[in-house]
Amino acid sequence: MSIHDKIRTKIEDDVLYKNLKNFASSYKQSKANVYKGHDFETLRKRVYDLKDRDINKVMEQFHRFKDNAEKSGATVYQARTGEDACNYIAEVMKKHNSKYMVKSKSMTSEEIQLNHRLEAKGLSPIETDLGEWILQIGDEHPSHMVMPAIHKTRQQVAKLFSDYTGKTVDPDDIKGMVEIARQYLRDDYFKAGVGMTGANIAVAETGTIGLVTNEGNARLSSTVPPVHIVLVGYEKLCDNFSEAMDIVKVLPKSATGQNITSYVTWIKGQNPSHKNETGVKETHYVFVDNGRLAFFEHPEFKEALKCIRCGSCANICPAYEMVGGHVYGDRYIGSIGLILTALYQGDADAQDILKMCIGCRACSFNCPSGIDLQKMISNLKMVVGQKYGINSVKKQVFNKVIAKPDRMKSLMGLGSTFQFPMTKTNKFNKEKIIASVPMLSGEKDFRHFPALSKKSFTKMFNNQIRPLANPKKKVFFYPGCAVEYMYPEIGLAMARLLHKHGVQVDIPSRSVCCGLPAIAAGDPENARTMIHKNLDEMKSPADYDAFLVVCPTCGGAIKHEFLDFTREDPDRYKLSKQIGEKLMPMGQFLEQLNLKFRVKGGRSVTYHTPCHNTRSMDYSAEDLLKNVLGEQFKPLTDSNVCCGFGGTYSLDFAPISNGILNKKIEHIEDTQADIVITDCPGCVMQINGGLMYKGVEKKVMHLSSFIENELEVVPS
Amino acid sequence: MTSKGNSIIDRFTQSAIAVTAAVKVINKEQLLSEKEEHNFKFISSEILQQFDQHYIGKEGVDEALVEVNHAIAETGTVVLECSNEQVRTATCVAEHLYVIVKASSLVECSHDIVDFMAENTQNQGGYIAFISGPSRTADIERVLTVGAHGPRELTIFIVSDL
Ligand code: SF4
Ligand code: SF4
Repeated sequence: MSIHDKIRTKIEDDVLYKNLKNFASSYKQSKANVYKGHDFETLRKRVYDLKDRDINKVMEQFHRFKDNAEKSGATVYQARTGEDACNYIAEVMKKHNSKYMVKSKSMTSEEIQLNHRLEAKGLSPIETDLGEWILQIGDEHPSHMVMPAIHKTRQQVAKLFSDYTGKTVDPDDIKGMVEIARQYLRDDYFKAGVGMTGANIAVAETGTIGLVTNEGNARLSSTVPPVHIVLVGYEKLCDNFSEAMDIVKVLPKSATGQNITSYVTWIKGQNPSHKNETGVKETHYVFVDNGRLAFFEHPEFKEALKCIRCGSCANICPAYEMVGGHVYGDRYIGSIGLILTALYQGDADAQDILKMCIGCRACSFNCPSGIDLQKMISNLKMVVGQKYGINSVKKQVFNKVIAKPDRMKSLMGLGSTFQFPMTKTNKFNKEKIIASVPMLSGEKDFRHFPALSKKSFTKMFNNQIRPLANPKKKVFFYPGCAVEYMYPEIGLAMARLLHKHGVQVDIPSRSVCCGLPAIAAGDPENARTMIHKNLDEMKSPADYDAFLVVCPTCGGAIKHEFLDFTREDPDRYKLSKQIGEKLMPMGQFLEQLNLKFRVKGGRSVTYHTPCHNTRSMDYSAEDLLKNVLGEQFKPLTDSNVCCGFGGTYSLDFAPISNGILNKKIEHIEDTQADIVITDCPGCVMQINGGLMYKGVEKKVMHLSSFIENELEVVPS
Repeated sequence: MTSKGNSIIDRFTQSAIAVTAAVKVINKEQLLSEKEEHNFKFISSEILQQFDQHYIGKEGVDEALVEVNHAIAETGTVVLECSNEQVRTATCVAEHLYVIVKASSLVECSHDIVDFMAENTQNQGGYIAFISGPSRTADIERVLTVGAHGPRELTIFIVSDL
C-alpha cells in the first residue's frame, strides 16, 4: 500500500479520528496543568544536559552499571543486533524450560521484533500491559508509544475479549474488561518461568534500573517468575539517582499529563525468589546496540538518543493526530519515530514517512529532553531527497524557476495576466479568487486560492512608497514570495503605517524566495542557491534599526536556515548572523515603537498564532491584540497549533492538510469572532481559503492590514 | 499537627488525594486500633513489630498493611524498600493496600531521597517501589480505570507522633 493509500484509510476511520482528536486536546490541557509551577525549560535542559554525551561517556556508564550488576550476581549481555538479543532471550527461556514469558511494555522489544522472533521459535511471550495485550490478542502493532491501543474502540476490544475468553463481554463495561485482563494475566504471572521488563532508566552508580508504569504489571513481571530479563538500550543509562529523578520528574508529565505514574520501580541485581531453586532470582540485563552505538559518535544524530520515550512528540503532532501511529510503520511512531525509523531501519524505510512532517516545530518545543526534532527531520528529508531524488516536477520548478528570481518574476507576471478568465470574486468578502484550478480535483480541492496579484509587491511599493526626508528610524523589509505575488497589500499596509510614523522602509531590489520550500522538499542545492542570492540582495545591517518580515516562515528561514547554509562561507555567514540579530516580525517592531492603538469598530476578533511566529521568531501578537481589544478579543482554542498549510505540503498531503484545517475552522467558529487575524500570509491563504470554500462568513486579515484598517493610533 | 494549611503533611495529603489515595493522619495509639479494626492478612511494620513471612499467591489478599520508608509530598508517593519477596508480593496483589508512614519521614521531593536510593541499592540486590495511588489504566478508550493489575485502593496512615 502506498503511503497515500495508508493515509487515506486512516483518515476515513472515524473512530481513529475521534479518539486521536479527543486525546490530543485533553492531553494538551492536562500537560499544561501538570507543568504549572514548574519551569519546563529548566527541567528539560537538565535532561538534555544529562543525556548530552559521547560514546566514551556512555561506555563508561555502561561499564559502571555492568560492574555493579555483576557484583550482585546478575548477568550482563551486550547484544549487537536485535536478532542477537532475541536469540539470547530465547536461550534463557529454553534453559529454564519456560514456554511462557510475561513481559511488561518495552519499546525496545518492538524495535527488535521480539515477540515475532520468539514465536517463530515456538515460545510464547505474553504482553501484560493492557493495551499491548489487546493488540497481541488482535495481532496488531501499537499505534502509540504510551497508549498502544489508542486506535481501538471499546466495542472492538469487547469483541476481541469475547473471542478470546469465549464469554459474552459488555462493550460498555470498561471496568469489566479491565477485570478480564486482570484475571487472565494474574494466572500468567504465576505460570510463566521468565518475566521480562524494559527499563526507562539505568542508573550506573549502583547498577539499578527504573521502570515507570501505571498498571502494576512491571512489578508483577519482575517479582513473581524466578527469572528476570531486562531489555534495555544504552541510551537509557545515566550516572546517578539525582539524574534519574530529573528524568522521573518530566517523563510522566510529558507522557500522559500525570504528575507521577502509579508506580516507579527500582530494581538492582538479584533479589530473593522462592520460585527459583537457588532462592534468589536469576537476572539478565540485555543491552541492545542495534545501530545506536554508532550514532553516539554522530554530531547530529546522537541527539535522537536523548529520547526518553514519552510519546509527547506524537501527542502534539498535527500530522500524527490525523493519521495515527500505524502509518509510521510497525515500530517507533511520532516525530521521533520518523527519525528512529531512518536511523535504525534505514532511510529507505523512512523516505516516505519523513515527508508527512509539515514542519510546524511543535515537537521541538515540546520534547522534555530538549531534542530539536523538526530540525533533524528537515535534515533527514534532505538526505533522502538527495539519495532517492525528490518529486521531479518540484525539482524542475526549484531549479528553473524559483531559484532564478527573474524567471520567477516574469512567469508570475504572465500568470497574473492569463489567470484573468479563471478568477472570480468570492461572494461574501469580495476577494478575488481562482475559480477553479485545473487538475486539482477530489481530495486536493478543499479551499479557494487567492488570485495572483496583477502587479508585484516590489513594483507597487516602488510606485507608492516615497523615501522619507528625515526618517526617525530605518528598517529593511523582506517581503517573501506570498507578499510579492499574491498579497502585496499585506506588505504595503505595513510600509504605509511605518512611513506615517517616520520609519523609512527599504526593500530588496529583486525578490528571491527564502529557500524554505526547497528545504522542506529535501532539495538542499537549490535552497543554497536561493539563500546565497538572497543574501546578495540584502542591504548592510549596519544601516538599519531592524530587518522586518510579515511572514514568520521566511523570518525563521533567515534567522536559522540561512546560518546552516552559509557555514562554509564566512562572509555570508557573518552577514546572516548580523541580519538574524536585527530580524523581527512587524508586530514586534510596532510594539517596540511604543505606539498606542485603539480599535475603531465593535467587531470581535480572534487570533491564530502562526507556527513560526512563536517557534522560530519567539513572538506572538496575542498580547498586543488583547491589550488593544479587551473584551472584543476572543481567544482561540489551540491558537498555536498548525493550520495545515506548510506550502506544497497542503497539496502533497492534501487529506492531512485539510483535516488539520477543519479542526482550526471548528475552533474559529467556536469563538464566534467576526475577524480572524494571523500574521503569516501562508496561514491567511490556508484559513481564508478554507473558510471561503465552506462559505463561513468571517474576515481573515493579516495583522498589518488589520492595524491599518481597524485600529487607530492614540495621539500621545 | 493537622490543619495549619501548608505543612508538609498537608502538601503530601493533597498530592496523594490527587492520585486517588486515601490519607488518614493518626497517632500511634490510633494506629493500633486501626490494626484491630481491620482483618489484615499480611502485616509488615517496624512500628507494630510484626513481620509476616508468608507468601501470597495469585489468589491475592483482601487487605495488607505495610510500613514504608518515606513519603514524597510533591507527588503523593510512598517509598517502600521491598527486596523482601513476601512484602513485595503482598503489595502487588493486595486488593486494598494500607501503608504506614511516620510523619518524620516525609520529604518534599524525590531528589531528597537520592541518598536513601543509593544506600539501598548498594549491595547484593535492591527493590524500591514508588507507589502513588492505586494501580490504574486508561488503555481502553482512555477511560481511567483503577485496579489494573495491582491494588484497587490505597490508604495511607501518616503517624503524626513518630
Ligand atoms: S523525542 Fe522527545 S517528545 Fe518524543 S518521545 Fe522522545 S523524549 Fe518524548
Ligand atoms: S514539526 Fe510538526 S508536523 Fe513535523 S513532526 Fe514535528 S510536530 Fe509533527
